[in-house]
Amino acid sequence: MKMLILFFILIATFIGSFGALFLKKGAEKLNFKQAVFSLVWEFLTNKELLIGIAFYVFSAGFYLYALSLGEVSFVYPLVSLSYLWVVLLSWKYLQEPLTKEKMIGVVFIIIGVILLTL
Amino acid sequence: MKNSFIKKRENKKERKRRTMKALRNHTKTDTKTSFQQDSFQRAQKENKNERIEKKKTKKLAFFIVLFSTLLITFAQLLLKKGIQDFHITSLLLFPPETKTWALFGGILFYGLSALLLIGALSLGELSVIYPVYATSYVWVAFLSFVYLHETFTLTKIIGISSILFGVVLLYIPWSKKEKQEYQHSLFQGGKRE
Repeated sequence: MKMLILFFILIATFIGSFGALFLKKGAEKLNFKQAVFSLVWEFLTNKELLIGIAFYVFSAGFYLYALSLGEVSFVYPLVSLSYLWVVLLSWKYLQEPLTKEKMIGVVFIIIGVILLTL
Repeated sequence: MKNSFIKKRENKKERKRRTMKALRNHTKTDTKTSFQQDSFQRAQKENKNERIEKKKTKKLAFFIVLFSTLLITFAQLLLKKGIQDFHITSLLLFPPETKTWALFGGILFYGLSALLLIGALSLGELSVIYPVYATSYVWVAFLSFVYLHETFTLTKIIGISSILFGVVLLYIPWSKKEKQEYQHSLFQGGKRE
């Protein structure tokens, strides 16, 4: 049972981190120095932003399904795995440098989240 | 005392005059190299300005993210408050005893924080900004200490300090080692423009 929950959480975090990737790609295209109305229009017509939001909704669905299978105290800390995926994906697809400090920082954050939800 | 002071000043003046003369001569003799030097210095200055601006935008993105995590925690609190005695009928009637306003407030806060996240993403790096989002756990712990009077256990304190340490590690190298940010990377991912 726990393996199944782990599997669903892995899928959910992976999809969610892809959503973050698309949000970043969409946000880079936005031009914030303009009128509010046109900015809203740009928001709604930005393909990447919409794809990112759709990915987020998908991952929320998987996450809720995993929650229905297991306890919150087991599922919630596992969500912090998405930070690791995001760092790796942004290194692979956005060409952001992957430093030692970054990896250590992410590991510390994950440990902290696990400790907080114990 | 006074005399020596005056002498010193004169000496300074003289030195200045001499250096100015030397500079003038230098510009007269080889204008080409001096021009090149000038352009080089200008480029350096522009580089410095760019770096300072980068630092500023990084700071701005960081603080925007921190603010949006605070908003998210408040949204979660409001949602919890609003969903406790929620009925579909209360969406239409807004009876004062049910806390439907809290539900709407929570959704509004969530939307605002998402907009702030997108704004921050347009300024900074994804791999720095996204993990910083974990500070919302810290805010939740603090708020539940303040409002719900939950106690701080040792594991909680260790967890909070670990998260904060991770966030600091993620943020600080970027302002300090700005120069080596590309040389210092462990691996070089993909093609770089």
